[in-house]
Amino acid sequence: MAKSSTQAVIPERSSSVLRGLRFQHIARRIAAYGALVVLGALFSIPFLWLFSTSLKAPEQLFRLPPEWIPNPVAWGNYPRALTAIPFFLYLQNTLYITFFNVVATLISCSLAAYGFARIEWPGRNALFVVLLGTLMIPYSVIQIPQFLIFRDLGWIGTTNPLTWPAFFGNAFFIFLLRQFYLTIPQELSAAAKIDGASELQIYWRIILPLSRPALAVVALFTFMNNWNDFVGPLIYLGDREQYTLAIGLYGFLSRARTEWGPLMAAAMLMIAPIIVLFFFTQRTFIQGITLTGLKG
Amino acid sequence: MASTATRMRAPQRPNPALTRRTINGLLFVAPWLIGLCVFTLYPVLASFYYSFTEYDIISPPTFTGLDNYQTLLTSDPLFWQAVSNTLFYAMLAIPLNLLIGLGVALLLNTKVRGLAFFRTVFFLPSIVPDIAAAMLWSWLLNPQFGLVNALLKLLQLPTVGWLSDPAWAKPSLVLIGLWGFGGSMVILLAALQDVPQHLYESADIDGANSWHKTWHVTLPMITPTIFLTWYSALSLHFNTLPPPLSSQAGRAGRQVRH
Repeated sequence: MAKSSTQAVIPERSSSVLRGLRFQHIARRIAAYGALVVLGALFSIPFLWLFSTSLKAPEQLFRLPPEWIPNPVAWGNYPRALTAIPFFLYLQNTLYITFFNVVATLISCSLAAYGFARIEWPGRNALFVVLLGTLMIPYSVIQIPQFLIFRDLGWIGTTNPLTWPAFFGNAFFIFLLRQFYLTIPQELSAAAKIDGASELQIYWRIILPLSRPALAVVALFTFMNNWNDFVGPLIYLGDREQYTLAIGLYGFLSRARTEWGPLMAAAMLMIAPIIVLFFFTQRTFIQGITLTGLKG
Repeated sequence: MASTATRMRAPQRPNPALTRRTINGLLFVAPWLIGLCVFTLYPVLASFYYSFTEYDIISPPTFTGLDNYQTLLTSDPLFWQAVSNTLFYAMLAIPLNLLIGLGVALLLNTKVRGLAFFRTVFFLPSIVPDIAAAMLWSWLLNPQFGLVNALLKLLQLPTVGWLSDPAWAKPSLVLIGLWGFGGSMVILLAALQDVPQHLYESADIDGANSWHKTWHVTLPMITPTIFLTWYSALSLHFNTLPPPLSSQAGRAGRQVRH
């Protein structure tokens, strides 16, 4: 009897413990989701407000309490933003600089990273330390002498200072690609070498195809950096005809300080391509971050 | 190949395989190496030299010794202000950013549903172009008609001048910076997902609760990443303070200059 009673008690107690644990587990889940939803809403509000404002006529802007869904919807802000600045010309300029940089950066960085990761040669590690060291140099230190170099080349007032330097690589992207290349098994290179492949062939036929996620990260970062760049075009571009979107929008912002509707419409037009690009590439992008040394 | 192997036995002579590897290696890094000399090393040295001269870019520099440093350290009113602002960001704003990034990454790492959705929501602000962010925030923080002050009013709280008030300009910039915490979050989340599962299993066997696991397993495992993100945020921050924002700040501009 005694035996059976203890046997009866144990499962009962453990099931209540389990129930308690399960309850705790569920409570914790709810708290986690609650925190995420609240924080997510908080961080989305600026975007929603941006979109909402971009569809408001001037008299709708200052209503209290704030109106989230404009009534009526003022679509006119978008045409106004497109015509207040030569939007498509600036877009074209921005795309030229951006794509030039993406292509040139991919070529130069993928090559340099190969030299650092896949070939062993004396001085390689010392140079790699130098490369890491250059990451710590603030742009403001080299800004003025760089300007003087470009001035002596006669490049001020052209897009050249914003494009051609990309062929000389970027320390951070070289570092990132090197970390990725290091994860590719050496046996692949060794096998190719036995088959008589040159380093350039190994780079082109083996390493590059296997590095797509990392290359995608570099391409995406380069795209964003150039699309968003404000200081570079501000320093080097002279002619209004050469302006990029960032500069054009800045001009619009300082001219039309109170035209919030068209301003927000213009900001939407600048943000939208970046968001669309991220949506289509996010899987590769996240994979690239996960697989490269970026996470340390 | 065969000739290489036979010649390798004579160590006195130059090793052709090694020479070839060196040439190949140098060729691959050559574009970067040239860029390093022309666009980085030379400018750094030139800046260093110019720092001892009086130079207005148009007429040639004249040597003045340590004059510039003396002016900077003793009579330039902006220098110490700039140093203190920089320290303020480095010691307060960036760690705050990382802390929130880490907190949200830890939340997302508890195997929540809709991970991709939440990750996107938190990451998006960090890729918004500076100029667009400046436009957006100067509207949100508009003293009279901005949403932030409207909400404060709705809650019967006192409103603030934000970017137009010197005392609030810096906190405003910290707030705007916080909005972009997603960049470090994505990297921290990637690091969290890489912590080997068996470490947690052995912690379970030892009877660790989730706090113990976070403190003794997760954090030590991702410490290098925390430092990396801190460092990259720092170097990024020193390089780019969105200029539109500082000019938006108007008369508060002096207080936020770096």
